Amino acid sequence: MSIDFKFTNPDHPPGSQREDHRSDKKDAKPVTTVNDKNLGFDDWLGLLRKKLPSLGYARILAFAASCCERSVPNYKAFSRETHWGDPKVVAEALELIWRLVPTKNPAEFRSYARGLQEVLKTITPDTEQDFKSLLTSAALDAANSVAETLDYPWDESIDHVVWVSSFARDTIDLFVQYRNKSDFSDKNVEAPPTAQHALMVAELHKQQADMGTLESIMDLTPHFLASFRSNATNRGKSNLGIG
Amino acid sequence: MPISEMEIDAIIQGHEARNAALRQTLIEKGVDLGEPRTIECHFWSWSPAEAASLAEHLTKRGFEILAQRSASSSKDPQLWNVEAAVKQSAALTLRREFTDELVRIGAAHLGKYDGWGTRL
Repeated sequence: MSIDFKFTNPDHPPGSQREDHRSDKKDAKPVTTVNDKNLGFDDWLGLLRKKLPSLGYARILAFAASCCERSVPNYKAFSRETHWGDPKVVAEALELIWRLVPTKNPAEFRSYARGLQEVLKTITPDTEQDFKSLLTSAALDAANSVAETLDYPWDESIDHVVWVSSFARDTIDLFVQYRNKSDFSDKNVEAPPTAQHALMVAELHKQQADMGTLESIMDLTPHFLASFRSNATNRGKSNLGIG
Repeated sequence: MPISEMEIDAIIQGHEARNAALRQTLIEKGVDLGEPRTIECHFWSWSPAEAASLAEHLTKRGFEILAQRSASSSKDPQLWNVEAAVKQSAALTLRREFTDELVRIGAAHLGKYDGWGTRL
């Protein structure tokens, strides 16, 4: 295509590319170690809020993209089960997010992102609706995670990313609660806390590991990003082990 | 004169039918529907002032205006041509939500969304 885009928006006028796209993170200092096995998810969310700003735009977006990668299979499974929604749109939005990580000029994708967000609204399940699927909340969280992440490049508010992290916690929490209800309902045994469930621990550790990786990597090369993305999930499985 | 919801619906139905045929063509040509590409959208307007307000609306929506000029039509001398480009996927462009939005933007400025194209 030979058309020369001159798209502008108030936040990113032409020529004012984000400097942190190009900056490597040589000076990034971890706020604190993330390998504390006793750290709960709520503590992690607090720590995440402190640590994210030092990562810079591209790494912050990569962190959120990784979280989305683990939630999107839940939406696909929900859609298969209920014959509702459109996983292709969610997948397309996720592709755009990964594309936005290394781009030098995210503004040219702003309208595209906005268009996808509008469509996402129409395919996000309402938990008040009569969906029978156990994955309804997980699908809602997946769609919201992608929509929140698509908001980040335009205002660079880390709130969006902290939300995405917390959606993962909520997804697992509700899923495990439902599971526990059926698994422990007729037993005189109290269900273990969801915070100690293997899925919750795995997601928490994965987010911490991603943070550690992003803090330590010098350049977000295409090779690194491809590897980071493929490692975002355990062989394509979601944060609920679905895929 | 503003057009009715029924007319808007009929216009959208027309675009939906053309989009279905276009989707098939793009698939047959091996186009990746999810790949962002330059999409050129075409509008008709019936006055320079409405063409200008339409172009302004499209610019705020994130489009780049490629053309905003009289269509020089002998049959309809009032006709104005507005062309706007946006970078997004064909998949999104083919969706009803996108068509709906552009039809309404066109109608809000007493114009008409005529359709879209992309270079292959």
